[in-house]
Amino acid sequence: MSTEAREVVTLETLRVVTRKRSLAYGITLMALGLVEILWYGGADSKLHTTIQFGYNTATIWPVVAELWRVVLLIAGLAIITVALRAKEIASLERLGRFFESVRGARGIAVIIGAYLVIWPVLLWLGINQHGQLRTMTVDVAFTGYVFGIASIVVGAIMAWKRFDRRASGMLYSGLLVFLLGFLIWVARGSLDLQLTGILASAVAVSTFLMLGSLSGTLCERSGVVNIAIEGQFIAGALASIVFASAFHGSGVSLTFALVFAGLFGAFFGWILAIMALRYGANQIIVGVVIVAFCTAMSQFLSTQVLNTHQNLNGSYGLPVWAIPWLSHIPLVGPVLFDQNVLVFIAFAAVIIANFALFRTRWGLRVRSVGEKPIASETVGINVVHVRYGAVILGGFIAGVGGAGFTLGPGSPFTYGMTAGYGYIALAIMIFGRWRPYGALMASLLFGFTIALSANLNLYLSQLVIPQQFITALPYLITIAVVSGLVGRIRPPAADGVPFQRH
Amino acid sequence: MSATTTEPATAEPPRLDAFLRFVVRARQANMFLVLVLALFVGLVFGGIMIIVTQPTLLTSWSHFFSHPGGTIASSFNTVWFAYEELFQGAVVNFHSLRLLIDDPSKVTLATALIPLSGTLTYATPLIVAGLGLAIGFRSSLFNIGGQGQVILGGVLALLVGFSFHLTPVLQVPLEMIAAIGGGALLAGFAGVLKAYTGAHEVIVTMMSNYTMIAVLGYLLIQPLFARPGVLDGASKAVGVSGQLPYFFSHLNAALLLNVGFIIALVAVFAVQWFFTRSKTGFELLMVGQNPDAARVAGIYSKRSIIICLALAGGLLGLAGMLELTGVDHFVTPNFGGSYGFDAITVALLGRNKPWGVFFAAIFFGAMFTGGEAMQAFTPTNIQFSLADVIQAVVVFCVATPALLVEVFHLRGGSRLMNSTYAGGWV
Repeated sequence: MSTEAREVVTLETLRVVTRKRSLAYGITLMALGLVEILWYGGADSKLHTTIQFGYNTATIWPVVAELWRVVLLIAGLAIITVALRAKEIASLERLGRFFESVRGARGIAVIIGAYLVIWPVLLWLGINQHGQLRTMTVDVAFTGYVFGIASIVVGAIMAWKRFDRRASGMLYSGLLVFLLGFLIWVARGSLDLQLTGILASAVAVSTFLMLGSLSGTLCERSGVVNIAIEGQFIAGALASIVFASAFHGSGVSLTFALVFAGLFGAFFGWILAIMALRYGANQIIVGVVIVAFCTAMSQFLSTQVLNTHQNLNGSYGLPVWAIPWLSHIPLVGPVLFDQNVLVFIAFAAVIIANFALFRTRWGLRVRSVGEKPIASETVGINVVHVRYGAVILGGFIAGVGGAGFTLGPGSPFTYGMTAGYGYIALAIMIFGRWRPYGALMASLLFGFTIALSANLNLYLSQLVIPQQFITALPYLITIAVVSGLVGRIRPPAADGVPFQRH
Repeated sequence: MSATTTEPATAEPPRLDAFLRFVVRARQANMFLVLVLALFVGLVFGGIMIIVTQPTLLTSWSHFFSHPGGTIASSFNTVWFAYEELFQGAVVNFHSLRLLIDDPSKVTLATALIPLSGTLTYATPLIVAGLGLAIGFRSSLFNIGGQGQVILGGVLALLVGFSFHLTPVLQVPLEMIAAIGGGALLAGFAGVLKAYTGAHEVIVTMMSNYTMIAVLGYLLIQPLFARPGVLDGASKAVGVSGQLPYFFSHLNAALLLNVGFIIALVAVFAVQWFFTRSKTGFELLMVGQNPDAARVAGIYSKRSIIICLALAGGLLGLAGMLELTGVDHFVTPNFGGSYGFDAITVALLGRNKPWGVFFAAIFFGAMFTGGEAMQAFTPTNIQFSLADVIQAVVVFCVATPALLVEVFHLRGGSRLMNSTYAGGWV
């Protein structure tokens, strides 16, 4: 309730809150570790799991001799140390200043160093050196013990030391480790754990979630609730496949199909903007009605036209780009750098949107219009124009995201294929705290759970908890998130409030 | 606006002749006019959709300049025929009406009433579900979780339905209590979260939809619910004593109108009473229209949020029970499929008023049954989803009257546009 009195937030209360949170996270991590030891560690000690680290035979992980492995390891550790500590070492002061001044240089150096470290470590851990499919076999119970003890130790340190900043990052890493342990446990025995496949499909699924939540973020940062993302998805999916099919899916037509999908999304964004900004209609009602319209139209057009004109609803997929060098990294390469074009577009869109929102004049205007429109108007910003721009741009992005349903996997349009992902994108937007990078992370998390529940069919016989529970997991996480269990959320102050010029 | 006493009355309006006066009055925006215009716009849009998607008509339009009359006539014929079938499938079949005039007996009357019965049967759960949504909308709460609440209500009613074998007089109320309790619990949970943590009810109820779909999928493969020997995931059926009795099935087996319609009517009266006569209803209205004033007046907003969502959820659960015990008597994995979202549009179309919701739901039922008839009987095989398109356009026009007011230059339209305040996510 925006009208209720808020308590005053001082640095002291903030510190108390974060310290409490750190304690809670630490206890959670310890509990997770205990569960890991009891659950995964309790597995039969003879059971092993074979993890697949790549499915692309073109990307051979270079096998090197023992000596070179040691050299690589030392080099990697040295690079990481220099990148992080250069300022404190007197003889490397110039290098330290370089890392301070060039934005992102330190991150790249750490990534290169980590790559050099992980390479020999994975080779020693027994990645299959001769087969084309790189795999690693681990002991299930042993993994459970290692994960559990590590988790408990980290949790105990966190609860004891009360970190302010790093608490949530550690909790999320702990959750990821828990999930990895779960996967290893589920795939125990004869079947291979297709880790790369699951992660790659997770990234593919999170593409349209990313674009959808980015659209929501843009609209809501400007103060307009865009609940019509689902409708824009449908419009984009249908428009893109019809356009691509009509021009037989050549490269040019696929590019234009993406633009066309975006234009359809932007059209519905424009309608939402007109109703919300010119007439001051209730934005949630307009959004719901737009979704109803798009759903009905897509059903009508797909049954009436596309069923009889199959040539308008073909299977045309966007080209898959394998980035040279990067796509050769095991696990990370196939997952992040060997995907269809839309995945790269989505990542680029997130980065550009983050820059545009927080580093440009336009972004400042959008955010100010969403927080305090009257103040923005006082300094001469045209509130309505800025909101129009943001909502239409958001619609364009959501429409392109809709193309991800059809052109992404290269499948024809079927009625109901968006399956409510537009609404999940809204929840992701809230989960990501109305920030593009937050939306990126939340989309990846949701994409992972969605891909997980889709892939668990393989291991159904070994699954103790029902598969439907895994299916419901993202939704339960969302409820927990919006009810503030994972920290406080604060939407843009003028979100959903019609603006009247004074 | 009344003239003040100090100022003389403004100059008399210029005298207009009767026709002009009628035009002026007709352009005064009121809800009835908006409804008629919305229906008109919807039908026109649907007609354009038919013409655009029929290849033969498109070819005839390519000869438009050589045979303008024939082109227009054939297009108009196709559209008219589709709408005729839509009407006949929804309300009454002209052929059976003629038979009735020739032979006025109970049996022919029953045959003539089959489409109407289908409409009302389909509308029954929608009335109750739309009422539930309307309660939420009137206090500015958007309960998108209709589907989940319908599912939970239906599943609990099913549990009661096949577990006991009492008399219908006892068992049907028991099912109702279980269904209402289930729906109220699910929506009330969202209300508690909203009241105490600020979680927005749109997201929570939406997520409860998907959660309930997963739960339903899980339950239907459990031995308690699954029907032995059936692979399509259908559940056990409600016992005969738990089914809602049909009114006229002795006349014609296709007349499926059942006691649920009476329950829905009672619900309409109850909600009407709730909003116009009860203290809690007044408080909810007040919270919805002006939360600040309500808080100043001493209304405890947390309590009213929880009560409002629980009531809405109870009605949606009841809708699930009516759907279950009215026609099919068992649950499938896609039970309650579109009821949650249809109920939203029903409530919007009915402008959140109990009788408005009643007629809106009947309109939806008519479009559904009529749409199926249209698909079955038109030679050009026009798909029933055209009815959904028309519905969506009508709802769009009614929910946001600003568009119609602008397009048709209606006067005084701002009265219709004071739609409720949306608010953000907290």
